[in-house]
Parts: sequence; C-alpha cells; structure tokens
Amino acid sequence: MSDIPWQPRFMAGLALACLGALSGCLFQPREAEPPRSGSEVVYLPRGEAINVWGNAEISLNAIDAPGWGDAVGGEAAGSSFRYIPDSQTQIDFPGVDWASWSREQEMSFINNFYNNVSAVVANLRYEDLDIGDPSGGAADWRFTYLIDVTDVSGAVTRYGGTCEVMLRLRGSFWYIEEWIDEEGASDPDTGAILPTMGSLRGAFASK
Amino acid sequence: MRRWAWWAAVLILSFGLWLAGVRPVLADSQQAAENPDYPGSAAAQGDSAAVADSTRTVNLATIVAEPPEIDMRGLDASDSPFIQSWDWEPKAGVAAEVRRIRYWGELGSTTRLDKGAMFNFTGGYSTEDYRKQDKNTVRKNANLTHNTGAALPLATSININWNLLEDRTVNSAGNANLNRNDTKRGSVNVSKRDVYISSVKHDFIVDASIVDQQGESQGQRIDSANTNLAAGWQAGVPIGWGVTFATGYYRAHGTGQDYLGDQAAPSSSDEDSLRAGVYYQRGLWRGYVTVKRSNFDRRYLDYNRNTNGLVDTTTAGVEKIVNELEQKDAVSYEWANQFALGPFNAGWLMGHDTGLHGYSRSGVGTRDRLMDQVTTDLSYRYADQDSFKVSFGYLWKWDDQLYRDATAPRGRQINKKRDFIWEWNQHLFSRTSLQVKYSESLSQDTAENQFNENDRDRLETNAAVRLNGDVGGKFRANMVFSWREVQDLSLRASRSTNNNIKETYEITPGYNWPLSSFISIQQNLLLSIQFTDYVYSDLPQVTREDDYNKRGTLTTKVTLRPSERLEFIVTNNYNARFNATRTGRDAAGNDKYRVDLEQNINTIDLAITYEASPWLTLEGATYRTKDEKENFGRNNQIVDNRSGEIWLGGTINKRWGSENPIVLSGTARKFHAYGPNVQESNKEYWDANLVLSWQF
Repeated sequence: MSDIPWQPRFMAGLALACLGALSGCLFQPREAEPPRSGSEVVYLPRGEAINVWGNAEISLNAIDAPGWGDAVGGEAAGSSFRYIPDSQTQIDFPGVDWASWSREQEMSFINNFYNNVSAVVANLRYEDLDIGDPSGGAADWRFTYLIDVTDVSGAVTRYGGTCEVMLRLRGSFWYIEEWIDEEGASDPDTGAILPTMGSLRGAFASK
Repeated sequence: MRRWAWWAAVLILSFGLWLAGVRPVLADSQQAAENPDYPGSAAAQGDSAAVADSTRTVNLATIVAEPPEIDMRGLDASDSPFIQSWDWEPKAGVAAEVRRIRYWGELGSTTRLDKGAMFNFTGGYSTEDYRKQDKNTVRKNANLTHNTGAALPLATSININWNLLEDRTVNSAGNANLNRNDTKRGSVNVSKRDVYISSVKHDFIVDASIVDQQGESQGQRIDSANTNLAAGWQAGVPIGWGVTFATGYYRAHGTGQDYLGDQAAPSSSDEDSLRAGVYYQRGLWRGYVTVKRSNFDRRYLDYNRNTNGLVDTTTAGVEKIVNELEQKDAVSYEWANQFALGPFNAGWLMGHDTGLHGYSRSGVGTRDRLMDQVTTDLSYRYADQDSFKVSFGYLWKWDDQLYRDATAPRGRQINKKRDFIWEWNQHLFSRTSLQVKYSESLSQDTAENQFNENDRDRLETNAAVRLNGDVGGKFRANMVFSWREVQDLSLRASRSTNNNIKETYEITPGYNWPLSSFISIQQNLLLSIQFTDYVYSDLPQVTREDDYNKRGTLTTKVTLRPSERLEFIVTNNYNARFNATRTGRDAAGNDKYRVDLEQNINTIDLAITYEASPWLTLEGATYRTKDEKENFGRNNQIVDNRSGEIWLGGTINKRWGSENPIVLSGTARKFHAYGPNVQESNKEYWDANLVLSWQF
C-alpha cells in the first residue's frame, strides 16, 4: 500500500464516491396541502423538560404523530426510548418482548393507534406525584395520567396509570428516554382500576 | 379429579420409558439444550404456541449439515455404576436497586445416570419489594427434567414444571389488586434425527403436554386445563451439486376447558405449518428460495374486546365474556442470494408476505396484511482497507381491517419506504484513513380513501466524513463532519401546520493521548447547530416561527494509575447551548433572531478503584453538577441548580474451600444524592447484587 493518495486506486475510489454523491437526492416527498385556518397544533418549546411532557399530551389530543416522535427521541443523536409496562400489562400480554421496546416500536405503535381512533382526550398531569426542577440535563418525574379514547365504533374507553418518566437533555432539546408504568390508576368516576397506556401498546404488539 | 389423572399419566409414562432401557442408538440431549434449531430444544418444549414458533424458525438448511457431536460418555460402560454423579448447588442472593429489592433462593440438582441419562431439578423462591410503590411480588417454581440419554432408541425428554406468581399492588388511590397465576405443566418430548431413507434425511419430533393453570386478576377467576399433542417432520435431499431441497410439516392439536369469571366453556386449538425450500451454494452463488404457510384456529373463553383489542368495559348491553374463535392464515416467500467474484460482492433479498387474522367476537374483526420488500447491495474492496459499498432498500406494506359488525373494510393503511446508502473507506496517508457515508431514507404513509388524516412523508438525508489518525500507535485523533436534513411533512390540510425541515451541522474533533504508563488524557469536542424551517411559517394562520439551536460540548477525561492496584479517573463535561427564534427579516434579506434561552451545564466526576486484595476491589465515585440557565422574553428567568451524588462500595469474589467451595460474589454500592431533581426514594439507596453459592 502506497501512501500517495492520488494513485489510481484512490482516484477510482474517489470517482465511485462522486458517482454515489451524484446519485443523491434520489427521493422526493409528496406535495403537502397548505394548512387550514384553525387547524394549528401548537407545541411548546422543547428547550424545557416539562414542555416535552406537555407536548406528548398535545400530540395525543391532536392525534398528531410527529409531535409524539419529537417527544420520545426525535432525531437527536444518542437519544433512545424505553418503555417498561406495569405488571398487569405484562400478565395480560405475555408474548410481548418488552425488553426490546425501542423508539421504533413506539412510533409504529403510535402511528397505528392514531390511525385507528376517532378522538383522544388526554390529561398526562392528572396528578403530579414527584416533580422537581430538572438539573444537569436530567428530570425524573412521577405522574398520574388519564386518557379517554374514542374508537372507530364510537365507544369510549378510559386508560390511566401512575408512571415514572425520565427526561434527558440530548443536544438542544429534552426527550422522554424512559417511561415506566407502575400501576393502573383508579377511575375517578367509578373507582375501578384502569388499564394503563401499556395495554394499548400490548394489544398493538400482540397483533 | 381429572387433573390428578393427568399427573398420574405423566408419572407412569416417565417411569415406563425409564424402565424400557435398550441399547443406545442415538442420544443427544445436550445438543437439544444448546441448539435452538434442534427439534428437541427447550424452545420446542414450550407451550403449543412456542412449539409452533420454534418449528417455524428451524433453519432447514441445518438438516443437511454435518451430524451433531454425540456425547458418548457412558454408552459402552456396561459395568459403570448406575448413578455416576449427583451434584447439588444451593444459591441465595439479594439484588437491590433504586426501584426494588429482590431476595431469592435456588436449589439445583443434577443426577447423571448410566447410558447418558440425566435428571435435573431446580427449585426457586423469590420475593420483590418495590421502594416507590406499595407492591410485592412472590415467585415460586420447581422444574424436574429427565433426559433418557442413550437408554432408549429415541431421544426422550420428560419435564414436569410448576410456576407460581403472586403480585400484590395497591395503587396511589388505595385500591388493591392481586394477580395470581399458578401453572403446572407436564410434557414428554420424543425425537429422532438423521433417519436416512434412500438418500433423503428425515427428522421427527412428537411432543405431548398437559397444562393446568389457575389464576386470578382483579377479582376474576382465570383458569384453564389443556392437553396438547404436536408432531413435526422435516426432510432434506441433495438434488444436484451444491443444491439441496428441504421441506417440513408441523401439526398441533389441543383440547381443554376454560374458566373465566363465573363462566366455563371447552377450548381447542389446531395449528399447522408447511415449508419448503431450495438451498444452494454453487460456484460464485449461494442463497435460498423458500415458501412457508402456517395457520391456526383457536377457540377459547375471552372478555369481549373493543376495536383496539382491549377489554370492553364501557359498551352497554353486550356480553362481557364470550366464546372466541381466533383464526390466522399466513404465507411468505423469500429469495436471498449472494454473489462473490474477487473484490466484488453483490446480494439481494426479496420477500413477499401475506396474512389474514380474524376474531369472531372481538371488535377487532378481521385484519388483512401484505408486505413486499427488496434489499440489494453491491460492494467493491479494491485494497485491504479501501472499499466502496452501495445498497438500496424498498418496502411496501399495507394492512386493512374489517371491524366486527362493519359492512365494509376500513381501507388500507399503506406504508412505502425506500433507503439508499453508500459508504467509502479509503486509506489516505501513513496511519490516516477516511470514511465517507451518505444515506437517504423516505417513508410515506397513506390512508386509502382518506379514512384518516394522517398521511405523511418523512425524508431523512445524512452525510458524514470521518478522518482517523494514529501517530506511532500512541496518539490517536479523529475528526467528524456531518450534515443531516429531516423533512417531516404531513400531507393533509388539517395536519400540515407543523411541517418542517430541520438541518443540522456538526463538527466533532477528538483525541486520545496516553502520556505515560500511569497517565492518559482524552478530549472530545462537539459543535453543533440546527436550523428548523417551518414550511408554512409565512402563512397568517400559522404561528410557528423558524428557529435555530446551537450547542458545544467539551469532554475531558484524565486517567491516573499510580500503581497496579489504584486507579483515578477525573472527567469534566462542559455543555453550553443557545436557542433563538426568527422574528423577521430586514430590507437586505437578513434574518433577525430573538434569543430564547442560554444554558451552561458543568459536571465534574471523580472515580476511584482500589484492588484491596485478590478477592476484594473497593470502588467509589462522586460527581457535582452546576446547571445555569437563563430564559429570555416577557418573563425573564434565571435558574442556578446544583446537584450531585456520591457512592461507595466494592466488588467481591471470595471462595472458601477448594473441593466443594462456598462462593460469595457480586457488587454492593451505597448511593447518596442531592439536588432539586432527586426524589425522596433516590436520596439514599443500595445498588447491590450479591450471590452466595455452594456446590457439593
């Protein structure tokens, strides 16, 4: 191997690289319709940790998948997402490989979920259990959430749980890196123990 | 009464098989335990569904491979003792972490008998207490496995298993729930490999099991009792030089009784799968073509479920518990090929996958799906370290659903994805190399007939150049330049307000410099800027404003080793970030920005490791973080947070005795943390994993 970079093999490699570069811009996205008045989904700046949890709620209420994607990892290098279900969900969906639940699975789940519901009314801060100031790029919080889902048949099902979420500052923005559903919450109307959002993930992953 | 009869049948069958000891022909229980593709493997001994899955995933190419190594120990030892060894291993341990503490005990016993036969017993108990919840979990299990070794002409394994789980949770509103599951299972697995009839090689497997499950969840009884019988066959034959034809068939049948709440009903399951393939490795070509078909029918008692497949607790006037019939039918074709000629390598994989999955009573109804995919790659290695590679991927898939009681299908939800990647690795100068990578990926979602508003495209483009340098094998440096663009575009007017294009530029230089045998230094710098351009930010109905974010991170790590037993690592991480929003454009066309946020996070970390003795290493670490943040705007806010942590502990691996040693091993660390983000339960806790074991 010679140390001279302009030898023929290097030039051949460079030519192939240029050929590859020329083949870039292969794909073009489709043209989008300009937005209608009154249809704006307003997300909060992701420079604050609490806004990211708020954006997850906004995404649910607007049935808007890109907002969920930005909350659970987005495009930041080094970001990841992990979901750990409550024990009821683990028992109800024993065949699901929860240990390898990643951002990719989460996005497949949320896309599928949004494509098959009519309406969602979510309150991800029904109760703040442990919530302190973020420090050093970390925020570990516990909340109780409630979500009412209207399915395509018009039936409304309520989901709710106590969860611990771990948000991390990756690059310029905060992301939810870990979501641990601890237990089902009690329905404030009936007192019954509700299924957590993990059961929606479990039903999707069991298909 | 019937359950007792099943258990008696398993025990009698086990004893009968044991008595029927004849000259060995073939036995390889070890192979079954270690090779997941082997029909008698643990995977193949699971429940009927697991058996089906494991059979489907058997790589038929393996049946034309070399015969497996057979454990010959004891085969010719007619005068050897009946019991050759009997080992016991009791273990106990504690595993503590921030969320829970687990105490456990386990007893294992292995009895090796004449002719390679073996009994294996494990029994265990564990209890978990959760620190942040009112929750306790108890697990008990016992497992007895008997492999007949060479005592029978067929490889035979008998397994009796018991698992108990009790999970008690009281939620934050004070409502308690007990999840209890008590499962007893007995099974017999018989297999015979490498049976040659003419030039065709055959493998056979038969698995019979009975399962008795008693459970409870949210006050509801969930019991079942099932018997299952499964059989599988696979065969392979060479049909030409380097070409093999292989096929296999699997069938399983189960019957039983389900109890759910106050209702009882019979259950049944029928499933089968058939596969065939041609595998070739001839000259410059190697690959395979396969076709697989599988289906099942299952009848069982279930809760009434909604269109998302979850228990329907809201719809009035419907049965809460129903007799469900679940059916699935799937077919897949695959062709994989690899071509290698000197420095050129080309390959492709083509797949076509279809399936139908339906429920007679669940609101989910019937789902139909299809997936086609092609991936191709071409590479050229023109020198040891120099190569070029191009790959392209195409995926097209859809799923459709006919909800229960609906008259027409929902419409296809279509996803189309294309990927293109090229990579170039080039040696430049002495100890200097270049890596270039470019990729594009376009994902498109479309709802047929616009049954939802979620049509969208995502185009991701990446380019990165990396330079690696190495001076005398000591000083190593690298530099990465990267550019990334992500276009997130919702197509429908009701969703397109947030359509945006993000562009990110990054420079990442770094080096690693071992100054001497006792000190080394490593530094990495990251400079990054991201611009977000909202596509419709100029429209009056859109309030989104373009923005940019920049950041810099400098990480410095110094490692000191004053002696072979002592090591210090000091790490400093300085992170600065700055966010701004575009407010307008001046007459010259220059964008004007408003500063939103400035933040500096400075962390210093010290870690010490001291090897106090060959069996004890003491460890400790501490970090302190200063987090300064200023939000600008109407409510100007300055925050200065300090946080930190210290932990002390060690790693132990101590043995007492040499012949039948008692061993204590593991780690234990005590954590103390402070700061505004530290929860009460995280302020002080143990992180430990200690195991005490004894072998005799």
